[in-house]
Amino acid sequence: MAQYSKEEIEDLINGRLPWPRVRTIISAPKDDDRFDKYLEILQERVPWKERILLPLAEHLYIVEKGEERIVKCDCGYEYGDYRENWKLKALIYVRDTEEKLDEVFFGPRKPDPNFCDVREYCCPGCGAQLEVETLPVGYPAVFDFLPDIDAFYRDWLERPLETEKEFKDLTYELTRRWGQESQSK
Amino acid sequence: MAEVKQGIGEGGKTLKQMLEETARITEETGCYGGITELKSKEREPIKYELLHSRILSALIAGRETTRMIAASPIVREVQELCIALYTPEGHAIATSTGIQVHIVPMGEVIQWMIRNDYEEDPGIQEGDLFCCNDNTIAGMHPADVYDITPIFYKDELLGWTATVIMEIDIGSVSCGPLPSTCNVERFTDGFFACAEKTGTNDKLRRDFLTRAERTLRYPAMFVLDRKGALAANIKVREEVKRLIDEFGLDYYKEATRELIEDSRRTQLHRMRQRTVPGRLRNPQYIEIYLKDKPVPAYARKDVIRLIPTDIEIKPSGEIAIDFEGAGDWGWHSLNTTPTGMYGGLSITLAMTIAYDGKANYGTLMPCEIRCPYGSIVNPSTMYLPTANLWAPVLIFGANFLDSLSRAYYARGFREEILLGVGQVSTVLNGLRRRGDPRIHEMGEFTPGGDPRQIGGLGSGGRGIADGIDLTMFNPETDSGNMEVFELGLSSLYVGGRVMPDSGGFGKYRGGFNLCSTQIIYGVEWAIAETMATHGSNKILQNRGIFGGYPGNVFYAYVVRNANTKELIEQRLPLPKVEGDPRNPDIKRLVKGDITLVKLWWCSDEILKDYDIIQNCMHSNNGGYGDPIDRDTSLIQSDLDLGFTTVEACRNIYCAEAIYDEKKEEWTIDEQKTKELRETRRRERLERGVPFKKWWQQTRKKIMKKELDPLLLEMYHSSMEKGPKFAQEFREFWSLPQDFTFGGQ
Repeated sequence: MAQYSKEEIEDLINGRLPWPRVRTIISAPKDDDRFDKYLEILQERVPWKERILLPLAEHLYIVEKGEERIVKCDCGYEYGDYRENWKLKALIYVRDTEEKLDEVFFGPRKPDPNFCDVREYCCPGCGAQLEVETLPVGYPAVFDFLPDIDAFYRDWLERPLETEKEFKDLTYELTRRWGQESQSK
Repeated sequence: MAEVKQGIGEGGKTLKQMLEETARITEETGCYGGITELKSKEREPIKYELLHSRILSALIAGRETTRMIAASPIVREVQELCIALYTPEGHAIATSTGIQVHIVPMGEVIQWMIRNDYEEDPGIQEGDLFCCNDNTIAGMHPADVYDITPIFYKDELLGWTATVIMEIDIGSVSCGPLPSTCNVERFTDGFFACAEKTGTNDKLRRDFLTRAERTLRYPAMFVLDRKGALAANIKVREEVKRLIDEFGLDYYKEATRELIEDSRRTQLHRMRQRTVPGRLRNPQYIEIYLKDKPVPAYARKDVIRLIPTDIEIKPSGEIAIDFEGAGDWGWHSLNTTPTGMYGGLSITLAMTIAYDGKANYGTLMPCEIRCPYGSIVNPSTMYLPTANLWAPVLIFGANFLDSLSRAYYARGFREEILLGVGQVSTVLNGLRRRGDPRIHEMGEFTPGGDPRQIGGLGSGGRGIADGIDLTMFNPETDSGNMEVFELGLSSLYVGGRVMPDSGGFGKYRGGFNLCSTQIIYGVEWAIAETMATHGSNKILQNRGIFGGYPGNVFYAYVVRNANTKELIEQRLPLPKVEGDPRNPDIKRLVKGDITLVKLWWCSDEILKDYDIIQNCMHSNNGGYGDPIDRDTSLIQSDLDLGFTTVEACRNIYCAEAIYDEKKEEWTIDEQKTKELRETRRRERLERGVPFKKWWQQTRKKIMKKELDPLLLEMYHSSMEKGPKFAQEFREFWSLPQDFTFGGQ
């Protein structure tokens, strides 16, 4: 089984490893300790202390905070329970006019703003652009990845987490509350 | 006493009995064919691997044989072919390199023949050849023709070998392999072989060849393709017999089945080793614009269809894909099938995760795909065209790669991240050459679309590097032989090159696409129309991850009454490439009637000599990560190579670039770039609104149904077809339980 040093994995994820070496790594059997080394590298990079349970996206992590598991940006901004779509706590900028689209999609390369939203999600803490969605107007925000963290730690890594959380999409509970707020106004 | 007829399978069983028994015991044990232990592998691992290598070598050699016999450049250079070995029940044991999308569908054709009692009638004997391109049986589109040969050892059928070749023309309503907009029902798909016995004693039947000669535009190429496939099948069949002589009959049977079970286990292991369980999600959209096209009245409408896609990686490592909420099917060529979706999954897995050369039926066993009956992914009628059924499959494949990349990222295997290609964009044409009675194609593989464009699509970004330029789909593909293409064509190339900024912007950008320009020449007339498979017209597919932007929508330029002849005579510049998309060269340099083609389009005017077609390929190849996180050395390199523009550099990547005229190279002002990026972050914080506020505003719009009628109909269709989708849609927008988009 292949094994790589932490330094080499760091170079790899930073895009700094020469391609011939990357090619060798891609072709070789996978290194079973990758996840642990990966977490170590990422944990050392963030300025906060909460334990990273799972890297979710560039800048975003699922971390253990007390008994909760929340999505947290590397800047420290917290998005709440990982089972809610974090996008609902982000800032959104929608390119919904020809002018706004033209800044990114030059000339005829742009979609039709009457049909397509280009939604840019950014972190309220640091302004990092975390995700761009291109969806039909009116389509719900896509919950890109809801990981089954307990199954992962329990069944795959064989070191279960202390407390288990139900594997469930909680996004709709939040939107239900928002809907009730809208009605009561 | 009635005579008991012996089957041609193992121990006198019929193939049907074998198929049913294998399915039963697989269901009971959870292991392929009830193989709970890999005895051959454990007993003598080297022998086991040797057998697999020999089978693989035979298949690849068979594929090369076909390429030497065929005349079509699609086979010889573009290499749109593949060959596989199957068990008696039609389960793939091994597959050659090439278009591995057909691993499952070719096996399904074999199973269809078994279930339809081909053993009885028309009979299955040594030396037989069966041909199929009927996608209501199985397949990816009619131009992909399957030739299937049984393998007997003594009197027992031990398996099958099957070759798939993509034809240069399949006799459909419009020229070429990829029928265009006019194709709205099955009977405009062209030539069909419906699991037909087309040869005996290793010889193609004369009546079958006659039918091909009289129903296809390029019969010689079709016939040579069949002969090439037959030769490949015979080569593999005879090698399998030699392997049995060498390894022993019982060993061959045991080990080939173990290869399938082995791949099933390996696939589960790979998923558990490289990903994270959970639910991944990404919808796709299919746009159909037939309202003003020359099709029958029942098909003459514009429609947009949603295909919501949930991908579950189960704790077992199995993959479950659910298209619940896919909208209604329709009279157009963009409906797909469950078999097609499995085909898309098989090539995606074989090329991105199961790339050890052992991808087979076992690789697909731990994958379940749910295609709701009566929807665009599983129509309730067989009378639809299947010509472009691969288009939703293609978008699904890209979605699958994008989604799987999120799981690779979480697990730390960023080098495996590869964002997909979500669309093909090209202009198809028909033309009549002077002195030639036929109408010819100038399509995807021919100079209308440029044969190089089969490799002219850039991939999406990767997790550690930019996307791959001009590469997809088949990594082995090469440009077709232009001289052969030109036997049926008339046009002059004036240019082709990478289009700057044609990959989705990101920390790692999408790979670049190709722009090519041709001048019509030597025709009595020509027409141009788009291929009905763009993937993104008004709506961009949801490509790009972690802050990267998606690629671009499709477009092309067509110039009628162009003054090209004058330009050539006066030695003035020709519009070889697009140039600045906001002020394209074709508009600056050429006089004539210029059409910017963006949606589905049919030329209502004849094109003549010196008219121009410029095709701007866009593969909807997304970027990875926030563009302002892009390393400045990558920006500088793109500038030096002419792959990006100063405008994109400053406005998208927020990098200050300075050109050194003496050194003839770009440098990046790091300090100024840092300041620009800080400014962009502040701008984002100022212009962004809290999601909740946007949600409240959009919810009002939805409740009032203030959407384009096409979108209202799209949502209505999906909510009618998919109760779960409807429920989630209502819950997301906190709508009344009885809310619908109906009654518009």
